Amino acid sequence: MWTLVQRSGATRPAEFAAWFLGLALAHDLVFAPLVAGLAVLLGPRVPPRLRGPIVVGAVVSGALVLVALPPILGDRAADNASLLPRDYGAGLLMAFAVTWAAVAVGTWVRARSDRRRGDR
Amino acid sequence: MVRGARPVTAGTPAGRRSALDGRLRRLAPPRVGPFRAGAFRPRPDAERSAAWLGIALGVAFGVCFLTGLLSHAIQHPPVWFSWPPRPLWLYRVTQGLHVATGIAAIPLLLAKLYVVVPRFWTWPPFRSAGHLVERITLVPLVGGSLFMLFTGIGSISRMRPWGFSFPAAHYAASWITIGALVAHVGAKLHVAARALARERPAVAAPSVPAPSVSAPSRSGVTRRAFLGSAAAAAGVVTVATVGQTVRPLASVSVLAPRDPRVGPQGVPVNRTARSAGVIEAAMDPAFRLRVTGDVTTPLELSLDDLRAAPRHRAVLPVTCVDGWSATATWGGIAVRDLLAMAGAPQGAAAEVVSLQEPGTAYASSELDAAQAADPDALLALELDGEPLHIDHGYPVRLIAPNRPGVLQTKWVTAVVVR
Repeated sequence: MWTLVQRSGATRPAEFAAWFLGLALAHDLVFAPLVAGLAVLLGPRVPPRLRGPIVVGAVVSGALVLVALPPILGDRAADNASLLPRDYGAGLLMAFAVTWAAVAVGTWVRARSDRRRGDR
Repeated sequence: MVRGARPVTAGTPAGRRSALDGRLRRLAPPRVGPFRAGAFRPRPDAERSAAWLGIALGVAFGVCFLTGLLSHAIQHPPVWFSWPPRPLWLYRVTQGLHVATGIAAIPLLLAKLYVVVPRFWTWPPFRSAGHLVERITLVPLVGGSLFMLFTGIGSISRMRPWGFSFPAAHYAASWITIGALVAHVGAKLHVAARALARERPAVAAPSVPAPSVSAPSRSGVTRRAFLGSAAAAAGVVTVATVGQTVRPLASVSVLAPRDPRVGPQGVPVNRTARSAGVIEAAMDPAFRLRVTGDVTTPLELSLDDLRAAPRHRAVLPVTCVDGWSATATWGGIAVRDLLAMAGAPQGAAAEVVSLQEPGTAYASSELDAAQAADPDALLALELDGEPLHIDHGYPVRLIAPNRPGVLQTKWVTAVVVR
C-alpha cells in the first residue's frame, strides 16, 4: 500500500483503483453471469453422457481464448519483428482443433471401454 | 453412495442467529434475480472444488509472488541483497516460472470464482460483523488477483490499455493481493480441511462405475469433470505459451508472445536501436569505449582495439523479465580482463553505461564485485560468431550470467569502476 502512495507518480492511484475494482466488477457483473448463463442455457440441452467431455472442451477453449486475446490485441512494432511474431488467430484455431480432437478421441475411447464392460 | 446424497448444511444454525441478522432479514430483501431464494442451489461438491482450486491457486500465487519479489530485488537491490552470477540459469528458471505460473493461474482463478460466485449473491449481504469483514477482504483478494493476472499477461503481450507504469503498479498490487490471500487462507483453512477430509472414500470399489465419487451438480456436470477441465485448461495454456523459454516446445507454443528462434541473428529483441534512439551514435566510426573511475590507467578503446583484445566465448541466455529466454554463444572481452587492463583494484564493482540518453530506463546497469569477476561476464562484440546486430547492441554490449535482460546493457560506451 505504501509503495502505491510513495510512487504515486508511477502508479497513478486513481487509475490503479479504477482497474483494480473495475476488473472485479467486470468479472462479477459481466463475465461470470455470461458463463453461468451459457452453462444454464446449454447444460440441459446436452445429453448427459456428453456433458463431461463438452465441459472439458469448453473450459479449455475459453482459457485458450483468454490467453490468445492479449497477443492478438497487443501492439506490434514496425522495427521489431521478434515482438508477437506469430499469427495468433491461426494459432488459436489450431489449438481449438487439437483440443476438440482430443476430447472426441477421449470420449470415443471411454464409450468403447464402457460398452466392453457392459458386454461382460 | 451416501456422500452424493449428503444434505447441504446451512452456514449458521438457526438458534445462533444474532439480533443483527434478524434485523437484516427484516430489511425488505430483493427477492429477484440472483437474490431469489434458490436462484443458486448450492452444488453439493462446491466446497471441495473450491478447496482443491484454492490449494492450486495458493501454490501458483505463492510461486508468482516469490519469483516476482526476487526479480524486483535483483533489479532494485536493497543493501542487504546480492545476486550471485551462478548458477547461470537460475534467473531464467525463476522468471520463466513466474510468467508460466501466472498464465496457468488464469483458468484456475476463473474456475475458482465460478465455484464461489454464487456465495457472493446472498441475502442478507452479511450475517455478522465478522462475516462483513470477511466479505470486505474479498475485494482486495478478487480485485488484486484479477489485476495481477490481467496486467501481467497484458504487459508481456504489449496489450497495455492503462496509463500507470506496469512494474510499479504490478509490484504495489502484489503486496495487496498477497496480504489479502494470507488473510483468506487463514480464514478458510478449516473450511478447506473439513471439505477435503470428507473426501476420503471409506472403501474403494473399483469395479463399480462410481457415481459416489462424482455426483452430478445442477448442470449435470461432475466435480471430477469440472476440476479436470480446470486442470486441463491450465496445462493446455502452459504448453501453448511456455515454448517462449523452453526451446524444444517453441513450435507447439502457438500462443507465446515470443519465439526464442525469431529475431535478428535468431535471438529475440526487446528494445530496438531505433526505439532507443542510438543508431547514429552506435554506427559512428569515432565510437570509443571508455573505462574510467577507480582505475590506475583510464582506457579509451576504439572498435579495432576491442576486436584485437583477447577474445572470450560464453554460452549464455538472454532472459527477459517478460518470461522469454534464448541461449546463444557470445564472444568478446571478459569484464574482469578489461578491469585488469585498466588497473582496477581487486573486488571492484562497475557501472556499465549505454549510449542511450542518461536517466532513461535501463541506460546503465551495475555489476557488483562477484558479478564483475565472473569469467563469463562479457562485453560482447559477436553473437554466434558474427558481429552483433545493431538491435542486439552493436558495437558492444554487456552479457553476463544469471541476469535479467534489462540489466544486460546494450550499446555500451563506458565502464565506470567503483
